[in-house]
Amino acid sequence: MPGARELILEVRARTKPGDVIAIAVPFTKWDQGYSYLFTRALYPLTGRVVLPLIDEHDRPRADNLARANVVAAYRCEPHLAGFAVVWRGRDGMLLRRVP
Amino acid sequence: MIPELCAIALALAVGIPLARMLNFLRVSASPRDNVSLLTGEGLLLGIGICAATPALLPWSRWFIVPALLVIAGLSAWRSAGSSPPGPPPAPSRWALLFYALALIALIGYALYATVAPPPEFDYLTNWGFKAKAFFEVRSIDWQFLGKAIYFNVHPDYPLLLPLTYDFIAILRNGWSDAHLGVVHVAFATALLLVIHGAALEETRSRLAAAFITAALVPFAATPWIGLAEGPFVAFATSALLLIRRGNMALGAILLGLAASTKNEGLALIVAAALGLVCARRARDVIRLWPAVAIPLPWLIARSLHSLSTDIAAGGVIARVVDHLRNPMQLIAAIASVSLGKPLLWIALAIGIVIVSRTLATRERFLMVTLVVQFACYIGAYLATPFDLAWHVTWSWERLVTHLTPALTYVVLTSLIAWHDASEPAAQS
Repeated sequence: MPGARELILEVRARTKPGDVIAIAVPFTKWDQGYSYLFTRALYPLTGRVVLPLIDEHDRPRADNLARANVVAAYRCEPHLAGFAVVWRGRDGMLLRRVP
Repeated sequence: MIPELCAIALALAVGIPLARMLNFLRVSASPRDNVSLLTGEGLLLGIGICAATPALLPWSRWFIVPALLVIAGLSAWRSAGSSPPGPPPAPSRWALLFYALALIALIGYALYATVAPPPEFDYLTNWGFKAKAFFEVRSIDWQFLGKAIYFNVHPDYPLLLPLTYDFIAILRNGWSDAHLGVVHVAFATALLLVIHGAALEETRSRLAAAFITAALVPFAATPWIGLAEGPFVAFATSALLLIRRGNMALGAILLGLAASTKNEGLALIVAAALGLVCARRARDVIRLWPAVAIPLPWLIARSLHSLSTDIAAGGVIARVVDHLRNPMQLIAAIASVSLGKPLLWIALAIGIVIVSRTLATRERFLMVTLVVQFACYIGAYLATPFDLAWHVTWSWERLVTHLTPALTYVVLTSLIAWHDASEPAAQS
């Protein structure tokens, strides 16, 4: 996934310990791309809580989105109510929950 | 790389006097505990102690380093009366060749292990992930372990390796994974030193010891940098070799450290106890108590924090029965994965056939231990809550490496003894 590592490192730099980060990617299947980015995000984002937006059975996890105060989006532009784009890069963007 | 090297130096400074002291306390202590054996034992013991310090002390080098130096000083003072290692006999040219081979292979391993940060998936989602998460909060983060949402975090796995990485981060006062592979080189070296020392005492031949050491480099230098396989193989193999020689105190401590590295170490304690009973050394079973005492605090803490264990998740018996009803599923899964090097297994099988009588009698402890441990691994597959083929595919090759070094060592030493015994007979 080109640019994914740089995106995650940007996300780390722009979040703080304790933030709850949901990972958004253009893939809707766990085993067809989603798990790759999600699992690779865990190690660089230690100190934050990293949550998937789908589970291992490809079911959407709306509860995880409700918990998140930050969304890291790789090569997609999710339109999420209650979130605003706070940073945009070449391979993704960071959205933060607005009060 | 300076903090990594300082960590190894501290481990040696603490471990060698402690190993000397424990050898000195042995009733049947060898008066000539050799340098390589003592250094290998000391390095393993020292790494175990260094890894324990973050669990006991504040996460600051200003607390941890002085505490380790005090331990090193006290154990050096306590072991001052013990006999120093005997002078090594002069090596032959062939022995030097095998030493050079082993050294070149180890240098290659060191380059491989440190060329980049550990890239393994299990490092990024388990061993290294936990270490890094703990270092963020400068303590064992029980909340993190209790709420881990990804299954591969395995919160029930023991923490010796993550805490070893944290020990280095504490010395550095910051997290860097660039050279963490040095830890694995240290474990491989320690195991090879123990193997060399044990072989030297047993065969009384520099050439044989050098050959066995060189032959076992590929087993000690595991390819999975960042994972617990290398440390576990080092602790477990050294423990079994020492217990086999009657060095119960150090062997049991290293067995406890193996159980603090991987859950498979807990099964190995039971396997070793059964091995001792079958080898008519039932009295020694009680002397394995350090092996139980060392991982016990972790087991209690794990239970108090209700950390989930996937293999023991509900319905174990139903899963075992189900898998036993379809044994071909497991056999097909095992048949589909790599066994490693076919030539090695053929050579090992021929060796086993040649010295089968010795293995069944003189080496009963080790052989029974390895067989029981292997049976435990098969039992774990039968109880797995995961897809059997998936579980076997991603673990079989690593599990086999747990048992291969000890088996190869004992086959090689038995073959050398068999050769030595048959040669004078042929000459006469």
